[in-house]
Amino acid sequence: MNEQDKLQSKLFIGAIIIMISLIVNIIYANTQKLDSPIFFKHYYEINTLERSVENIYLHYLTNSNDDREVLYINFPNVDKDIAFSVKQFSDTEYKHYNYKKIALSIEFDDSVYSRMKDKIFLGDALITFNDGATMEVDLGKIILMKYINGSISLDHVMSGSSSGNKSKDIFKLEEPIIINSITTNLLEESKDIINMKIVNDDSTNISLIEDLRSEKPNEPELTLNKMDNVSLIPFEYISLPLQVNSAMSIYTSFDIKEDSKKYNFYRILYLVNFETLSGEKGNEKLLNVRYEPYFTDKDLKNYLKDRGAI
Amino acid sequence: MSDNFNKIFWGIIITLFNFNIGWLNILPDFIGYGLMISGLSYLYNETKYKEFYIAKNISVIFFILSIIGIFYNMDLMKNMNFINQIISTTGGIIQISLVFYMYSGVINLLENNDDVDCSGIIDSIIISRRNYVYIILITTLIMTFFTNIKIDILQIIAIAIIVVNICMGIRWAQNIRIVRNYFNQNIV
Repeated sequence: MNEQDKLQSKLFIGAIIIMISLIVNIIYANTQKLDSPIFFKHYYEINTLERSVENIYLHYLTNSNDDREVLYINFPNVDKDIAFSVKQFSDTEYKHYNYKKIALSIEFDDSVYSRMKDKIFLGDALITFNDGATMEVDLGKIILMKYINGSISLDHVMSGSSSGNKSKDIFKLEEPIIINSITTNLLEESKDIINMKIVNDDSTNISLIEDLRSEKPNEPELTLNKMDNVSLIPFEYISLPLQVNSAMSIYTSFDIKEDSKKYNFYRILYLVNFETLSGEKGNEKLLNVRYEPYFTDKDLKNYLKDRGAI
Repeated sequence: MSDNFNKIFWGIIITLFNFNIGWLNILPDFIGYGLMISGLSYLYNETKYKEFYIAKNISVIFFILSIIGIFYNMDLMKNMNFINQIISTTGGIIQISLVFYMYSGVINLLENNDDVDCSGIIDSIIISRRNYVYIILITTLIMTFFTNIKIDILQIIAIAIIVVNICMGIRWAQNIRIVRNYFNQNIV
């Protein structure tokens, strides 16, 4: 066999290997294909005090070549006069999928708002894409709350969140208070995934913030770095009632161990219910208690397998 | 003889690069393949080497595909569907065969030419033929994984493959030009 014949044989074998590889890759890619977009579960508490809510972020996955956009979102079980609008927010490309984020906005006019109940539950939605296709999805549990302030409130010095889904709320007190309870409408969904710590009479944070604000008025969140040193305990072990005299910092973090909850999105509006020593009751919100999962290609694959989508 | 190698040389150049004025491709690929068919047909008729015959028939396939390609935009990066991938992979393998048979025909032609010693050119073309087959087989194999590679990595690999393919194509054209010059100077 001369060199030409040898090379011809190698070319032939190479072509067969290439075609086998192509077929295997196409079969594998086909097994990863989604029949329809997959929406993540969202557990949100949203305050509707201002009669409009903007940028409630909803997240979903599509096949990588699916460039359709969400045009409308309707909630069949909700008052038809509440106006929902949606816009495509971002798009992150993964190996086989696009991870997309849409921003939902809600508008209430005065008459709708006045007849609105304390809470509206959004879950089952009808999504319409820009190619005309529609699909029914379960978005999780989004609670629109008609939140009413307590008769007295605390001086909310700062609220912020840091990487790693941690948050911190710092309050300055005019007078001593007794915290009776910390409540949320998503207690069942969140009780075993939240760690919390109430640092009683912590004036160091306040003086630190005051110093920082005078030096760098645009960077108040620098103090959040200090959160790493605080050890938090599971929410159910928070011991209440608790008297706080001058200042307090409430730290929260998400500690999700269950795979079924790891890829959900959370936005929890804890309400700190308190009373003064003279018996006057009030409440205050903890802001920025939020959780957004981070995904690798492997995470997405596992998630979709768990959902039975691939 | 050298005129026909000249046609093949320009055919390769036209298929390697797009010559555009604005949006208009003034020298579309089918013109390049047409020149190759013309050159290879003459070489086959003159020599009766089966390698030139196969290379000519492959050029006919590419000629037809390039005309279809005018109406059907096959952009692999934008439209990574399975049909495009099958077409581009099969096209890659046929392209390797075209170059292999063209090189093989040229090597036979030079080996059977007793007029002037051309062993240096033959050795160079044998090496180029081997390199082309191995390298383009590897790049075509890598392309089969495109549907399962993340888009940002895919873009880097795709650019690297395009660069390699252009370099190998330029080498191919360069070798045909050397053969053209050889016949031009020694036989005419």
